[in-house]
Amino acid sequence: MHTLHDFMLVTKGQEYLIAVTFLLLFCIFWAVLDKKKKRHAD
Amino acid sequence: MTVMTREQREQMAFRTWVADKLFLGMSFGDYVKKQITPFNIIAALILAVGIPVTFVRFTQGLAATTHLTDNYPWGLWIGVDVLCGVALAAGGFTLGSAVYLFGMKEYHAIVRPAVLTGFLGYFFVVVGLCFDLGRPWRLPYPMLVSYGTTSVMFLVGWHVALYLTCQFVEFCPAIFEWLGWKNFRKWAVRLTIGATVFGVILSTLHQSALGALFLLAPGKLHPLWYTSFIPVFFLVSAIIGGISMVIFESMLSHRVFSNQINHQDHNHFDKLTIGLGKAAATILFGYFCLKWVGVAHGQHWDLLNTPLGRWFLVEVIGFVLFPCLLFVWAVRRESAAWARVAAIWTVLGIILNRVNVSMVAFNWNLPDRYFPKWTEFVVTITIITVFILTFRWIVNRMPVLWEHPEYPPEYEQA
Repeated sequence: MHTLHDFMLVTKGQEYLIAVTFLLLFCIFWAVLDKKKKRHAD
Repeated sequence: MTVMTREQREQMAFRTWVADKLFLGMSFGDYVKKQITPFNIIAALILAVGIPVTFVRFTQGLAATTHLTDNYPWGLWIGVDVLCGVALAAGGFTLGSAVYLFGMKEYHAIVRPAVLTGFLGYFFVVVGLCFDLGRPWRLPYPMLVSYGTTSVMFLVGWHVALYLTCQFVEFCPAIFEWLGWKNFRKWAVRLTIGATVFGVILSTLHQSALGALFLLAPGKLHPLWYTSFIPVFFLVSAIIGGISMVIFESMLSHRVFSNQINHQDHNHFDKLTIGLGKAAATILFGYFCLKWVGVAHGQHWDLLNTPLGRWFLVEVIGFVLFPCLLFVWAVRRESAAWARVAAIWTVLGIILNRVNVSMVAFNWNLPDRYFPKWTEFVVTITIITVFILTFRWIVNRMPVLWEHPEYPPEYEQA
C-alpha cells in the first residue's frame, strides 16, 4: 500500500514526467513536421 | 407512323429512367455482360461460400459456425467486424467536422467518400453485430422494448443507431442529386451542419464507450492493455484510423474510378493527402505519448519484459511510432505516396490494436486460447466483400467523387 507521498512521487510523478517530456518532444516534433521546404527566389 | 399512348410514354420514360439510374444507361443485357470481370468473379465465389455459412449461422446457432465459448464470448466478429469497423469508419465524422464545422473547405472533395465509407462502415458493423447476436429482429429492443439503461451496451446501441441516421442525413444530398430531387436536396443540405454536430457528439461518446466496455473486464484484459484510459485510447486511435482510412480509401477510389476524376483533381488530391498525413502524424504522436502514460499509470513496467509485453512493444513502436515517423517523412518530402504507405501501416496498426484488446490480450491468463473457426473468417470476408460491392455500386451512380455541375457544394448553402 502506497502512502500519498509515495503515490505522488512514484506513480503520478512518473506520469507527470512522461507528460512533460512528451510536451517538450512535441515542440521538436512540430518544428520538424512543420518545417517548410526552402524555395529559391526566382 | 405509330403514335404512343400516354401509358406507353410513361412506361418508356420509366424504362429509360431505370436504365439510366440503375444500369448506367445500358440495356439490362449489356449491363450484365459488363459485370463479368475478374473482381466480380472472385466476389461471386466469396458470396457462394458466405451465403450458405450465413444460413447455417442463423439456423443452427453460434456453436455450428464459431469457436466461441463461455470463456470467449466475443471473437472475430466483435474484434474485427465491430471494433475495427467502427474505428475505421471514423473518417466520416473527422472529415465532416473539419469541413462543415471548422471551415476547412479545401477538403470538401473528400468529404463525400469519407461520409459514405463511414455510413457503410457503420451499417456493416450492425450486420456483423447481427451475426454475433443472432435474432436480428430484436435490434430495436434497446430503443423500444427493454432499455437496459445501466448497460454500456445500451449506450453503444443507441449511439450507433443515431449516428447511422446522422451519416445517412449527411449523405442524403448525394442521393437526391442522383435522383434529381432538388427540393429534397435543399432540405437535406440545411440539415447537414446539425447532423454533423450531432454526429461528432455521438462519435466521441460511442468510440470511447466501445473502449469502456473493456473497463468491465479488469481481470480478463492484460494489464498493459487494460487501463482506465482505454476509452480515450479508443477515441484517439479511431480518429487516426479514420483519417488513415480516408487516405487509403481515396487512393483506391482514385485508381478504380479514375474515369470520374480529372488530372487536376489528382494533383489537388495529393496535397490533401499530405495535409491529412500531417494531422495523422500529430495525433499518432499524442497517442504514442498517452500509451506510455497508461503504462505508468498502472505501474506495469515489469510486464514489458514478458512475451505479451514484447507484443505490446511491437504494437506501440511498430504500429504507432513507426507510422508516425513515416507520416513525418512523407510530409517533409511532400510525398503523397509515402503518406499512403504510412496510412496503410496505420490502418493495420488500428486493426492490430483492436484484435489485441478483444482477442490476444483478452483472457491472457487462461490456458485455453481462442482461435476463430474457418466459418468466422468466411463471414468476415463476406461482409467486407459486400461492403466493397455496395460502395462501388453507389460511387458508380451518385456524385461522390465528382461534384454535380447543377448543384453548388453543401458548405456554400448549409
